[in-house]
Amino acid sequence: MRFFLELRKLIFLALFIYLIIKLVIFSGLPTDYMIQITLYSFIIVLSSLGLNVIYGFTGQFSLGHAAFYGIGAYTSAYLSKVLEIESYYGLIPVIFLAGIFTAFIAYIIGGPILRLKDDFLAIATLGFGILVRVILDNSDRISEVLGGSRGFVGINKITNLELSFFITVFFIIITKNLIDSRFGLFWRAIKNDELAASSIGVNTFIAKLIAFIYGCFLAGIAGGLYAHLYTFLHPSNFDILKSIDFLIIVIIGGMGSISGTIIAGLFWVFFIEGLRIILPSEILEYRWVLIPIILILIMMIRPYGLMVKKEGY
Amino acid sequence: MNLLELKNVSKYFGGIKAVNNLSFIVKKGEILSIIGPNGAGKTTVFNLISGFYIPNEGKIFFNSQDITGFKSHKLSRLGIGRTFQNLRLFKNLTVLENVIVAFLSKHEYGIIDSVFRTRKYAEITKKAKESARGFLDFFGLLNKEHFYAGNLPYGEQRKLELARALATEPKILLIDEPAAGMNLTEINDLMETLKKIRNTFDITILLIEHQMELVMNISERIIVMDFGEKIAEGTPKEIKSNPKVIEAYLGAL
Ligand SMILES: Nc1ncnc2c1ncn2[C@@H]1O[C@H](COP(=O)(O)OP(=O)(O)O)[C@@H](O)[C@H]1O
Ligand SMILES: [Mg+2]
Repeated sequence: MRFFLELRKLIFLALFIYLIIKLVIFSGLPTDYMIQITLYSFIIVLSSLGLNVIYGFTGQFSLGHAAFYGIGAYTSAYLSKVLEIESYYGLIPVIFLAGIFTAFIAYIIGGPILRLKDDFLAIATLGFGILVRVILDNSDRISEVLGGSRGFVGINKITNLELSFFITVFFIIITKNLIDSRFGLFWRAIKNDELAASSIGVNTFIAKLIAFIYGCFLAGIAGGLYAHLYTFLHPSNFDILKSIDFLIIVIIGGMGSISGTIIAGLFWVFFIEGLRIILPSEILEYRWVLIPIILILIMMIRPYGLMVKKEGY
Repeated sequence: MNLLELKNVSKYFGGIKAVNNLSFIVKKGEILSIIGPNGAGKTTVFNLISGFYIPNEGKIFFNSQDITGFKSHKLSRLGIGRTFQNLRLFKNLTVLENVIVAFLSKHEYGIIDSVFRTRKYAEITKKAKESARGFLDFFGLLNKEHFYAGNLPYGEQRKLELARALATEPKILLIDEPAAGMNLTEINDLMETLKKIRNTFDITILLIEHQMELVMNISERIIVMDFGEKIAEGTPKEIKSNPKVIEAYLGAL
């Protein structure tokens, strides 16, 4: 009860935003493509939020976040194919299971790698990302449906506005509650000074592991939504470049800012996709010149992120 | 009664014997100070007691329990609190949060309690705030509870670090050079604070300090270290007149 009472405002705000989006879609103005990237932007926010817990709040630099997003996508697509899921209420448990499986993988690899610091952790997570990419490229040897380097085709299109919006909102609320709890305090303390945190009785290894598992769980859930939105998965969707996308969102939103991640995630998707619409096709590829310049400018004007005035958290 | 005991403890870094065959006892309720020149191995002793280093030789006992090799977070839970020579606050947490986090490491609720904000969560959160405010009040920091810790002036950062350590409810508090970088007024203030801590919290204090007036004034006993070894031990009076100490340390002042 307390849960719903304290979060009344947030829940009402979410419902209000949902109704507006629903109305806009109902008006028939947005194209299918625009609706698709709207749903996609929520998914990107969800996965970035996971990375913000790991990196922004707890300070554990990960270059492998997209690998976990991919594990969630492939696992849920595989499950829904094998179980012949077609409805969204059938998809919810499948996505949840995919998230749990992703969290389990994070638990297995988190044990050894979270004992590493800074550069070593970056290299270990990068290595894990490459490993996952190689496995996905050869996944047809595990099971034909996974498709290997040809990609995973023929996934049912089930992800709709309600699923992507409300699952993302639900986990934003859960994440906020965790950040406000003793676990969030431990994470922020560890990011500030891990040694000092252990001196006041925080089991820093366990706290980092919880952050990592939870953040990867969110990536897995997001991957599951993604798979059933785009209906086609390719290993290249989940490589280092995708991991860097998530990092960019966390950094421009502001390390350790939930609202920052939400805004930066939406901004990032609409910006890149928006340029695709606005720019004439001859110069479309100049996006990749424009985007880094804009990133550099943002970092010069707001070095701690869009939503963070000074270095918080 | 012995609260803490080091038995023939040594710690080497490569060829350096930072602590060499050191033994001493800390009695419950006393203020014991360790003095000695820079590089004598004092901070290393603290790092050994609080679990940041594991001794190469020897054993450490706390409340008669062998704690050699225990992890630092476990030692904190057993009742060993400490501060650091070069302040280690959580700079980007508020003053209040710095103390709350210490309280919450011992007062537990689970992930489910956090996610659903159960009654247990609400109760412990409330207690944590009250308790943390109590400690801030004790150190006169209550009016700055919403400041980021990194924005406090140096002297107040020292106090906040003490407040944070006390919030873990330690039986023994290890304080590493609290007067470093302070002027005389601040040192007098610190002296009063340390006395007040001991009288209020029923706690044992092990202190590293260079400031002789402070040490001589508040310590019941003093240990003098040089080159990783204990060269003298006694009351402030005995230490002041010990020729070995005067040669190694006090004479240099
Ligand atoms: N982590 C470490 N690695 C290598 N040498 C160290 C380390 N910590 C301390 N030392 C060395 O051990 C000796 C004692 O240092 P320390 O305990 O800090 O002295 P004090 O606190 O008495 O000034 C010094 O020579 C120092 O250089
Ligand atoms: Mg020292």
